[in-house]
Amino acid sequence: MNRKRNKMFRILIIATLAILVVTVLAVFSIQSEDKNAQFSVGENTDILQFSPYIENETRLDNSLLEYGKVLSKYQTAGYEDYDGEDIVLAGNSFASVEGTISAFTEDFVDEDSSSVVKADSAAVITEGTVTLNYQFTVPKTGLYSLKLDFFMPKQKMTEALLSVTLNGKKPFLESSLIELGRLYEQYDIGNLDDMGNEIKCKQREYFDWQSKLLGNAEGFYRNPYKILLQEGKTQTLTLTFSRQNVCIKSISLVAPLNTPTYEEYKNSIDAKEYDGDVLPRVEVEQSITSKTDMGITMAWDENYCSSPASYGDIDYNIFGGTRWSEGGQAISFETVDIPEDGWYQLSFRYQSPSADIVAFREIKIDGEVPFKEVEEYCFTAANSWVCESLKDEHQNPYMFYLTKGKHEITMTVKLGPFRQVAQTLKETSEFLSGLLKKIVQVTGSARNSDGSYTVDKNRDWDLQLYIPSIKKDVKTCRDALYQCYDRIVELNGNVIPYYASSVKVAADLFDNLSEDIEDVPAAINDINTYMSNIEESIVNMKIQGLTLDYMNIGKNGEEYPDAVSSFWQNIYVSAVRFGRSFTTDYASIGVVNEDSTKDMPEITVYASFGREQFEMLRNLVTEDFTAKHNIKVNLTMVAGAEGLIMMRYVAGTAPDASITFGSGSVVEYAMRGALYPLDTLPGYMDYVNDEDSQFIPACFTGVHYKGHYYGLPETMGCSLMFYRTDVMDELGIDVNKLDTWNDVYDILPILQENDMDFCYSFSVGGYWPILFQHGGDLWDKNGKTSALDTQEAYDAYLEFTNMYIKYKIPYACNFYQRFRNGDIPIGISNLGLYSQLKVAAPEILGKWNMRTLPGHIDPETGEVRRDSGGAGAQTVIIDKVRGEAEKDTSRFDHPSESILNSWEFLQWWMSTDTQAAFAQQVEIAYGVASRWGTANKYALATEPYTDEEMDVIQEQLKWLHEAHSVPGGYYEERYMLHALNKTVLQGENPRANLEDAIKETNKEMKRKQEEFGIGEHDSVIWAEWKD
Amino acid sequence: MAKENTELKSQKPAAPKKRFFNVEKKFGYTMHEIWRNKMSYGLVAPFFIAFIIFSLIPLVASTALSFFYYNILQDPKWVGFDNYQYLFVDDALFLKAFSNTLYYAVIVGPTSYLMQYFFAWFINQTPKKLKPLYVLCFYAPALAGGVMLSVVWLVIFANDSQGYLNSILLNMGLISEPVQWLITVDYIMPIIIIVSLWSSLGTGFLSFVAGFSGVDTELYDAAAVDGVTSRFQKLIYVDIPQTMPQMLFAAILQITGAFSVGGICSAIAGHPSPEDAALTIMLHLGDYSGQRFEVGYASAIAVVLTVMILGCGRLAFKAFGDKG
Repeated sequence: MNRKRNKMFRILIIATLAILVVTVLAVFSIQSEDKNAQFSVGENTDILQFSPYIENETRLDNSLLEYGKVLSKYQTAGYEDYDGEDIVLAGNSFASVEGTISAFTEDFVDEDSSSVVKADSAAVITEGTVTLNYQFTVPKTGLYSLKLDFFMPKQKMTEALLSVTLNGKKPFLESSLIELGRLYEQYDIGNLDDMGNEIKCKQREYFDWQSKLLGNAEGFYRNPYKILLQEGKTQTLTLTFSRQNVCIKSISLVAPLNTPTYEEYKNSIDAKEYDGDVLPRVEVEQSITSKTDMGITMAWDENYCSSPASYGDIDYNIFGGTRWSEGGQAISFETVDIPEDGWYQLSFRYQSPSADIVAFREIKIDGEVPFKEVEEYCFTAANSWVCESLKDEHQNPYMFYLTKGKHEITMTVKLGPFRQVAQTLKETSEFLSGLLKKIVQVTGSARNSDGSYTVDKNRDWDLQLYIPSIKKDVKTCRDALYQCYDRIVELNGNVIPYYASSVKVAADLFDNLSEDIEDVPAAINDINTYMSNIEESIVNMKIQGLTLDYMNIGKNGEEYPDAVSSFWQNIYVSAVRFGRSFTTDYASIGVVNEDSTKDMPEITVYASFGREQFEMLRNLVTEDFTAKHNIKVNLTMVAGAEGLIMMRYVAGTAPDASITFGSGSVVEYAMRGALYPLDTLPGYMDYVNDEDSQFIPACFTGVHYKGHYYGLPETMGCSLMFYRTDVMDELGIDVNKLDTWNDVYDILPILQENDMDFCYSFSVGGYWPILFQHGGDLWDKNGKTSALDTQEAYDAYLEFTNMYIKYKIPYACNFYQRFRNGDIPIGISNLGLYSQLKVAAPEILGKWNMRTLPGHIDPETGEVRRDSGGAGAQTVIIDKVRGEAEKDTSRFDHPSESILNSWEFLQWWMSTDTQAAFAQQVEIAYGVASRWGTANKYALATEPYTDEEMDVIQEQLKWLHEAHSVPGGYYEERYMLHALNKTVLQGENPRANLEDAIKETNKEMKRKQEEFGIGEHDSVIWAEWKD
Repeated sequence: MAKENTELKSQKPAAPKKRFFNVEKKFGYTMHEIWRNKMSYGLVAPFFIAFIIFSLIPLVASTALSFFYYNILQDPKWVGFDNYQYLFVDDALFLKAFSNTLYYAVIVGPTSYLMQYFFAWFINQTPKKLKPLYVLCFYAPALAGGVMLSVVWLVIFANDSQGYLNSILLNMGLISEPVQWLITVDYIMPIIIIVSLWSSLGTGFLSFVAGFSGVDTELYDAAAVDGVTSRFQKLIYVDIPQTMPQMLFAAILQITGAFSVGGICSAIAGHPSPEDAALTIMLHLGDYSGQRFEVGYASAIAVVLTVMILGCGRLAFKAFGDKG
């Protein structure tokens, strides 16, 4: 009986499990079938709704409204699109001009890309910022698009900015932020390295006339802009070009695009459907004819079905990915030969680089969008490779009419219907920011150092008394956020994208608050956090990456089962890769022509770069250095050159030279005899002393020890004052007048009255610049003792600590985040913030600027001293002689061949041409995020900063001031940190704290001097004792 | 096995005779013995080789280096007892590090040891099927220590009002503004101790669990016959004597761990920590070898630390050694 029951029980369990498994499998299979089904995105026009937070927004002037809202006004007023002939205004037919222009008389020839742009007598070339006014009349009142025919002369590889005004007024808010981009192409595709791996193709800018309907640079809107022109009156169109030079052939007023619907398109052409053989694939990565951004590049994918296969040797086989995700980025590629005129189906093998994110793309064939449905076509999220045809929401493929021959397909990133959501979220965030200010005015909550508010939860406020609309406001927020959330999920194909959750959380918060208004004051920190989360969501929403493998052109309903790899194929790929990991020498991937360099002298050089930067370096070395100097360079990619060199040095296998060597370690290694004194080598002292040297003298300070120099500077940076132009204007502060620290102290009350603050890093690194500006230094002239015992140093110490004690600027703040929010609208940071803001804070693009640091007036010259640090990595040569022979200094007169070769290499690496080329390649690959901060000032000048930015940076770099590195010097930094903590955080006596630090520092320095046998009258810095 | 044993017995009486002749014979005898027990030596070898390479040689080398000035890049220079002289007479920070380490070791060492023992004992009382689950639960923090440290503890003790502890205290109205847990000198060491205790149920704890489950259950029956009634009596009269080897093992681990604390301190308070409140001997040592390239001096510190650990180890041997 018992056994029988047991058996029954077992069977039951097995059955349950089986059912479970089947259900799971079924769910999965249904999901995977459904996943890439096309769905309807609902209404999708350029018209934006008016803000729910602003009463009667329609009454606002057009120049303050977003284009989408202006369009809505036009629609209500019943204006119609113009449909007549183009009205062409030649570039030189302007009525008036401000700024420098020149005529385009000689053909432009670029030898690198062998592009030729024919001169045009009607064209003008702008230089710097130029404003052109054109006058004209139009035959009919209506909406017009603007078409610009232009080309971008060779300059820095960034886009030009165009601002359009009509009759002295902006036709809509975004009209001042139109970008004119450049064109890039790929070449040298398909070369192999010695091991049979493909070498990534090269790319360059090419030059040609562009004809562009002016539209949103970020792909925010579906169609190019339309502006309203009244008939009869003379209209003045003002175009302001800035950032880059532009050559303008003509500006035309044209009939706005009127793309047919698919239905109309299908009926307008009478042709038969193609029914022939399967055509060869279009390998997108190999067929690129043009792209707007060098960052969009080919990559390789190891999937079994990726074409061509790359799971063995590297074969670049895919294109796009996360880099092809920002609105406006476009790629064009050429199709295979189409055998006959007819209707074809287009399919793409693609994958979404981030999970569950759809991607909108505009698809043009030979420069024209064939029908409305592909103006913003939604590529559904594909978490693994799929091959799907372009199709409508009923899963019927769209058919495209293609004539015989080759065609060019252009795909542009578009935001799609997300635009309304992005707009509403932006308005919500702005509204919350205002609401928060109002609440804080009522509750008087103080800010913590981290920017959060101190909330007294035990107190109630009658908010409705002070802010009567609060109840309604909270409800509006809630409704708007819930709507946005629902729309996001709908547009993302009913899959919740990662960025949506913060919208939901915020909506839930306001849902709770709407029931209990009294809770609002206690929730201000949450509101504050969610506000920045919402802003982050907007940024993330606009990132819609797409990775393409190939395109298939085929007959209606043709399917591609070989696009998706099976389980066993995946296992096979893994096995092959595992097997290859034993035989592949990963370090030599990308090495070419090993044989030809066999007889050359060799040097070994360490570099701590990432893989891609390392490849760039190696390419430069083989193509330029080895070819010209006949020296073979064994480059080794390491992580942290210094530590590894120490170990190698002890083992006697140190490299000959190292680049990317930490500047703090140079003297540490030099005083222990591990580095070669570079000043004994021919030409070094010219770098230090020459007026026209490519280096800033301050970069050499940190490598100067006992009269010798041990490093050649490689990178540098600088601190700058960043400020929000919009906030400063609002507060009426003229930042250009903030020359000295006293000027800064004067504006602090204005900032703090408005619940804002100034940010300056509370760290020893923040104290040094103040010390230098006061005329002080870290060490005495000979580097034997701390020089913080001077009056200047004490004044500087008091001033620095008083910033936090007396002026109460926050000693801990997330500057980046709070700068974005606008509640710390001004502060000091290094160039890292510049990149960060450029990359990750598009919502404040154009609303911030940089300026040189505030300083102190030098009593002698009357000039403002703006000193601050910024020296970066160094390049060094290793001195391999050890033991007693090390002491023989006469060997410096006859450097060995490998030392001379290494020196040759360092000089080549830090030359202007090499640095400029490397900086450019890094910029291309990573964008502004990891701009190469070269120490070569001429190469720095070629980097794509705008002219104003470059002026500020160059001006600040003049004030670069670095301290010497001396034995035991690290102790000063450490004890100063203790001193600062005691003075500021614990309110102890500043003089006593400073004295302690000096005493401890001197003790350690003395110990170290004894260790290195430095006598009482030996200088640490100079060869001779200086008085 | 049995065969080997008999062999051993039959040959042993012959050995003492040979032993007294000469050294060569004695050596030969030793080699012979080793050869005869080659199986055992073979089994010990992997550990023993690793022990020599990674523990013994560094220990000897470090002791030797402590009499030299050595900055890694240049050849060592003989300085005699200079390093020790500086260490005991001049180095004010070493005293600070020493007292911090002692403070830590005195509290964490015994507390964590008792925790390990009693948690293992408690778990031993639970039903057999649940045991592994409990063991895993208690052992997990030690496994995931590093990650959890940043994910859990640094968030709990975060200095701003959004840190869990600050937030809770603020909500309860006990404090009016956030406490700077990780910067305030007085709080740093206690926080380090709390975090260490939380993640201290490690290898020692596992050995206790193993020890308890290895206790012969017949002994409990025998004890019951002898009049033992309560669980506590069972613990005193059966469990403790039976788990002596594990107690020794855990004690050694505990002592070594407590004295060589370092990583957790710099992870919590940073290095250098505010006013060196979290400076331990290990960190002080790392400071000298890593930052100042004074490997000779660092070796001297290491030797002192080793002596301290060995001394305490002797005590542990005395307490739990071969009596039981």
